[in-house]
Amino acid sequence: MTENPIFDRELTRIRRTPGQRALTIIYNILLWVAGIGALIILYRDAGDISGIDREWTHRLYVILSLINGLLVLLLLPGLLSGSISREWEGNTFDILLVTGIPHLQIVTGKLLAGVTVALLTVVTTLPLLWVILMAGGVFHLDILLLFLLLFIMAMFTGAVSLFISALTGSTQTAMICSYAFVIINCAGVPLLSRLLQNVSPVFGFTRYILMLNPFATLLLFLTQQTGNERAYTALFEYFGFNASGIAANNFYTISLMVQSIFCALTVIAATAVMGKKNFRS
Amino acid sequence: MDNLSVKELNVCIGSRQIIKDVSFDLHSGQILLVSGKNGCGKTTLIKTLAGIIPPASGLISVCGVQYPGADIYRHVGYAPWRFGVYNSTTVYEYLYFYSSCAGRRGLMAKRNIESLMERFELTKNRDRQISHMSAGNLQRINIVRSVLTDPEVLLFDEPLNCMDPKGRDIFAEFIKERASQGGSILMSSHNLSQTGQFCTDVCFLEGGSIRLMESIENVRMRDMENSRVRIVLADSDRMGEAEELLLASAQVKNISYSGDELMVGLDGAGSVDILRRAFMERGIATVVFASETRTLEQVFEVYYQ
Repeated sequence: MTENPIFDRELTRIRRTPGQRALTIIYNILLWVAGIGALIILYRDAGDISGIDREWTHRLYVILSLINGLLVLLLLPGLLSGSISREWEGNTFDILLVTGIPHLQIVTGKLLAGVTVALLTVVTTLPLLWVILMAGGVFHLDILLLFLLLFIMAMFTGAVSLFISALTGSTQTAMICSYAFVIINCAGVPLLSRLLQNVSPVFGFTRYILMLNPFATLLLFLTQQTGNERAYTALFEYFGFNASGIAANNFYTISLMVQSIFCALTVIAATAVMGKKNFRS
Repeated sequence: MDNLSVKELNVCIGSRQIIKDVSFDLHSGQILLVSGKNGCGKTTLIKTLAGIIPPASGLISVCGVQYPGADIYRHVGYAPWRFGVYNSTTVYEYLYFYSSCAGRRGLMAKRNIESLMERFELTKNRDRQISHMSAGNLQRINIVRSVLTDPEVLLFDEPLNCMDPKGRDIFAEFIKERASQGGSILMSSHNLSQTGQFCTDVCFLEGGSIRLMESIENVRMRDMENSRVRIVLADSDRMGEAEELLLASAQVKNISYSGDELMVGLDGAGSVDILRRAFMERGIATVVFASETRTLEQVFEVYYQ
C-alpha cells in the first residue's frame, strides 16, 4: 500500500490522533480481563480445560465476536466520516487535486487506512479467541472466516461513511449521518421490516434489505458457526425468511457478496461526488 | 514556445460570470503579473488555469495538453494564497506527501525536497510540526510544494503574502532562475513595486476582463515619456527667469508650484536632459533637479480607481 500516499498519510494521521492508542489499549484490557476472567471461572468449575462446557465457550466466542463487530461498526464512522469533508474544510483539497492524484486513489487510500486501523484493533484480541479455541468448540477456520466477515463489515461501513463525508462536505453533519446510518441500518431497518411484514405480506420484500445489514450477517454467521440451529432458525423466521429456503441456507454468503458489491458502488459514488463537488468552489 | 495558451476563456461560479473572454499566451521565460481590484477575478483565473475550476467555455492549453486532462497537472505548479496543512505532519513529511501524490517517491524525490528546503532556508524546520510554523515560513513551504515536480507553468496567488524581505528575495531569485530555464510564471499580486522588479509582463483585470496587458518594460518606457521633474532653484529671485525658460521649451507640458519647488511635466523620454542643459547654459543654478520616477503602483493608480 506504500504506492498509495493517501493510505500512508491517513494511517499516520489516525495513529497520531490523541486517544486512538488509548482507545485500543483500554479496549484490549477490558476484553482480555473479561475473557480470561470468564475462562478462569469456567476452568475452575470444570477442573480441567477439556472439561469446560462447549456451550459456554461458544457463548464466550459469540460475545467476544459481537463486541468486535460492534467496535468495527462504531469505530469506522468516527475514523472516516470526516475524512473527505476535512479536506474541503481545511483547504487542502485543491492542492491535493493539482498533484494529479486520481479521486479513486484518494477514496481507496482513506478507506483502507480506516479499515486497517479498525481491524488492527480487532486483531489484537486474536490471542484471546485462540485461548477459547484451545478450550474447544471453535476451529481455526471459524476464526479466519470471522475475520473475513469483519473485514467486509469494515469496508462496507467505511465506504458508506466516506460517501456521506463526500456528499455532505461537513465533518459534523457527516459524523451524525454516518452513525445514524449504522444505527438505522443495523437496528431500525430489521424492526421496521418486521413491523411492516406484520401489517401486510406485501411488505415481504423488505426482509431482503437485511442483506445490507452487517450486524445481522455477523449474528447469523455466529449462530450457524457455533451450531446453534434453534437460534439461527428463530432469527430467520423473525425476519420473515423461510429457514429452509435458499436465502437462509446461504444467507451470509449472499449478504457478504451484496455488501461487497454495495461497498464497491459506494466507493465509485464517493469518487464521483468528490469530483463534482470540487467544482463548486 | 507557448507554455500556456488561453483562448476566449469564460468562467462562471453559480450564475455569476467571473472571467469574461480572457485570451493570452504565456511563453517560456515570461513572468506575468496579474493585478486588479479586489474581486476582479484574479484568484478564479488562477484556479481555472490550475485545473481546479472548470471553464464555462474557452480553451486552455498547457504545454500542448488541453484542459480537461489528467496530464495537465504534470505541467502545472499551483500555490494558492489560502491553503491548509495537515496538523499532525512535519514540514518534511508534508512535502514528501505531495511529492508522492504527484508520483515522485524515493531517493530522488527526497533529495529534491532537501535541496528545495535548503534553497528556501527551511532546513532547520525540517522536523518541526507544520502547524507550528509562522505564516511567512508557511508561504515558503507553499512555494516549495508547488515546484516539487519541476512544472513548466507556475501559478502563484499572492505569493509574497506574509513573506519577509529575505523570503521575497529568495522567491524572486528562484522564479527568475525558473524563467531563464524555460519556465513560465503567472502570479497575482497587489504589490506592484516588488513584483514589478522581477516580472516581465503585467496584466490588469477589471470585472473579469483584461483591461491592459503588456510588458513592464513598455510600461516604464511610456511612463518615462510622460516624466516629471522637480526643480528647486539655488536663488529664488531667478524664479521668473526660470519660468520664462520653461515656458519657451517645447518639451514642457505643464508647470505647477509648491512653495519654492517647481513641478514640471515633460513630453518625451529625453526631455529631462535637454531641460537640464538649458538651465546650465542660462546659468540658473539649481539645488534640486530630479526626475520623478513613478512606482508601478503610481503608474497603474488609474486602474485601481
